Amino acid sequence: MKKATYTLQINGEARTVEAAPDTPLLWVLRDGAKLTGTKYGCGVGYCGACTVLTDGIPTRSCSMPVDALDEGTAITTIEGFAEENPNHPVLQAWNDLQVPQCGYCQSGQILSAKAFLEDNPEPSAQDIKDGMTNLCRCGTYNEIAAAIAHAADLTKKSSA
Amino acid sequence: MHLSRRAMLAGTAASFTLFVCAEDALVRKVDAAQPALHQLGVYLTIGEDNRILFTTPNAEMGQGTFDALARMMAEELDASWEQIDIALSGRNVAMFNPKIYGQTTGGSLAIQGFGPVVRKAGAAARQMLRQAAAEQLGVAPDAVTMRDGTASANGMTLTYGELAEAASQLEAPKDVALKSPEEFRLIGKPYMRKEVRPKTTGEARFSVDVDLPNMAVAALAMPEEAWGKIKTPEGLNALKNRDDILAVAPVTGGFAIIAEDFWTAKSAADTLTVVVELTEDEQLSSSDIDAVIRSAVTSDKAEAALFAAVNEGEDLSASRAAIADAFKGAADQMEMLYSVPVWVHGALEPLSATALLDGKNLTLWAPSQNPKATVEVAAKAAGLEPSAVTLERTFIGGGFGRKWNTDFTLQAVEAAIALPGRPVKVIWTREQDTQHDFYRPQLYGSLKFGLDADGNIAAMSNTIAGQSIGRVWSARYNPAAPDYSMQNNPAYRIQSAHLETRPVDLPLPIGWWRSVSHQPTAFFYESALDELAARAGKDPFAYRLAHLDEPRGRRVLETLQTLVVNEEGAIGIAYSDAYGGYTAAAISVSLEEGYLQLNKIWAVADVGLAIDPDNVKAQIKGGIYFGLGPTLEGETQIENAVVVGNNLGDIGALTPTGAPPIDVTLIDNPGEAPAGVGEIGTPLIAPALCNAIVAAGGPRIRTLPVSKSDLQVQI
Ligand code: FES
Ligand code: FES
Repeated sequence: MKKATYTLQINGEARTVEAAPDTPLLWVLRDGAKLTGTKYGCGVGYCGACTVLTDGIPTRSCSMPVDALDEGTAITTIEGFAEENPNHPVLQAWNDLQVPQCGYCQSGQILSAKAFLEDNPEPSAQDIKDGMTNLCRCGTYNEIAAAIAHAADLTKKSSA
Repeated sequence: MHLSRRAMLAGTAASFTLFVCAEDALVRKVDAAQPALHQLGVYLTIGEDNRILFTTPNAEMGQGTFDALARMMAEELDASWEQIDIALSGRNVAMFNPKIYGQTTGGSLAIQGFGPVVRKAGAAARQMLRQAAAEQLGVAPDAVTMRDGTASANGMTLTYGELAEAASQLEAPKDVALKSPEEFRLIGKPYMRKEVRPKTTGEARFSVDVDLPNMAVAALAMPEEAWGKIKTPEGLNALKNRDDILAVAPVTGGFAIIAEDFWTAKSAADTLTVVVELTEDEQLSSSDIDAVIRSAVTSDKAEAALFAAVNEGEDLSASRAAIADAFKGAADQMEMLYSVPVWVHGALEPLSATALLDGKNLTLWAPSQNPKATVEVAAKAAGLEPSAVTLERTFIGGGFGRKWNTDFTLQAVEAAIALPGRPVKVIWTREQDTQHDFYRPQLYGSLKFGLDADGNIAAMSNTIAGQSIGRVWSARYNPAAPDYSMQNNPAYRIQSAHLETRPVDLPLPIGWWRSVSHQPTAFFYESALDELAARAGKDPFAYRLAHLDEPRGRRVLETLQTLVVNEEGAIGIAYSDAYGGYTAAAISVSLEEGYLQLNKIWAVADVGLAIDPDNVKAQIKGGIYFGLGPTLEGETQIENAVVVGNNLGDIGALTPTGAPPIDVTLIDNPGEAPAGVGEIGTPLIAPALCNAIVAAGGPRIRTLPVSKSDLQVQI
């Protein structure tokens, strides 16, 4: 497929990349924008390792062709999120509970958790179970659930 | 150990370019032009800026030894945790794990093997620093207090950074005393793992993330078949003429299509259909493989069987005769046929490696569990001496045994040879990662028990058949010795036991998979024990304890019993002694109208000295989940050499929905040597779950996965 030029809003910056229209956003971010925090796991929208935020909504970037993005869509990757909010309750909770094992799934987990908590700031254990669908092959699910609950507490305390 | 300054100058340049965790836990590159650095042994470099760089000998794939080994070293060094940076080593022959006879990461042997080595390295460096301090402060070494990276005496204090140069010129002490647990300030204490923060910010670099100036990226065209002779696909030459394709290279297992970026390379590779030629013997499906192994385990003949006895050196017919005698004297007998299927590793990071052939030097960036073989295979392919190959290791996005192999690093080298002077990164697709695994082999276990009048075990024979990982991969494989890649000794006291292994040759590629033979062995024994307890009308805890002498194991089981005794619901348990630890788990399930619901899991472990108790717990949970998914639904279907179902949804990968909460209790036992903890959780879950299913009124499952039964499961 012939390459085209796209200007994307990535982490608050306009970035121009050359890519074939069917190129998944994942590979545009990784190879084009050199943002490798967004991971490739399955390529079919199943695992969530490639999760980024598009206008704040968790999006599996492996299944989003670059050409299908609306112009001006704000894309946030883990790098942008962590740089902008180094003390975000989700990041703090992830570090307090030392969630990562191999770490490969964690960028996607963290961005999914951030969006999840914005929708549901005081989730029950069951809400967390139903709402977080990203795979972790190392099995950090207990720690993820605890970190989300902890992040919800931190947010509540800081706004109290 | 050579601790001379000369050794330092010769041996370290490479480590300064690796990714390092700094005090602020950001991944950064150490600049060789920094303040003067002084090497104290192969593991330690102390900068005059008082930063201490520990070069870890092991791979880090989520098991946490990156941090735990550094902590063991820093403990003996009396450094402060804040001043420690950690680098991943490449291939270094001086880094020798006496338990695994080299630098390999596997067998849960990092802490057990490298732990004492790096503690001694820390203690030796501390002694040299102390001696240097004594000389500079004009006091006897005994008068110097070492603490948090400083040496003090007479009201004067020097930092390790200030002492490093003088210390690095001293001879290393031959014998050093190690601390006792009461003296620990780092080991066993809750400290932040240094790799956590970069793994939450996107900064941690995995193999797929390697990015180098002028780098090209390769995708692969591989056949769907897991074996067979590869034919050159039509259209390969046409690709060579495309402007956006830099090179096309035949590589072991397929063809590398090299472009400036992955999607371009992959789109081009996808235009090819790679087919294989299968001989008649190679045209196998799951049902054929099952039949071969089943007949090997049940056949009375099995003359070619290799043999493993509880007592090494016993001969096959003598042991068979002895066990036959023992069965004759038994009051009752019970026979069972168990099996476990082929399973996939499915690490979340697909296989990937980068190579650069630059004149007569080859550099390889890889997530390797096995540096020696990785370097040797690379050198051979490039026609170089191993000394001309530099291995730079990255974090590993899940290994589980798969990244022990060298097939994918070899492909990177072969691709780099086709594009000399440019680094080439090869990335597998998930589908390729699933279809070209070194699979956990299918095994059958034929178990027979002779019981006394009380229903206790008097005699046991266990014959296991299947493909032997040891026979394929272990350099130290001995056909006359027990094959621990296929089965393990029972954890219990059994008067007469006969263990036999019957390796079968099949073309399916097989390899090490988290907990190796402990998974099948524990499933067979621990399920069988519940069957026997039920026959004897005894409680599963009591029945196990009646056969268990090991006090540490008894305490683990008794502790688990107190945790679950008042729990409602159907409970199943299992016990295991593996990797130097003693573990037991219980699971509570409910079964309604054939729908299996998992409520909660408890695990109890005595791992001896726990270096990082929180990580030990996390490893046990991860190990349990890793085993739980395929136990429920992992059934690798092979149709005429093709593994069908080639993505993460097909391999029994546990999802958050299928993951019940796990509660881990550690027995405090710091006086015992630390066990390996990365694999100890995995063997427990299949038998505990299948025992719970029976307790809930469900069927006895002797063939995994559970989804093959009539039960509805959700992962
Ligand atoms: S890589 Fe996108 S969902 Fe798995
Ligand atoms: S931490 Fe390894 S896959 Fe989640």
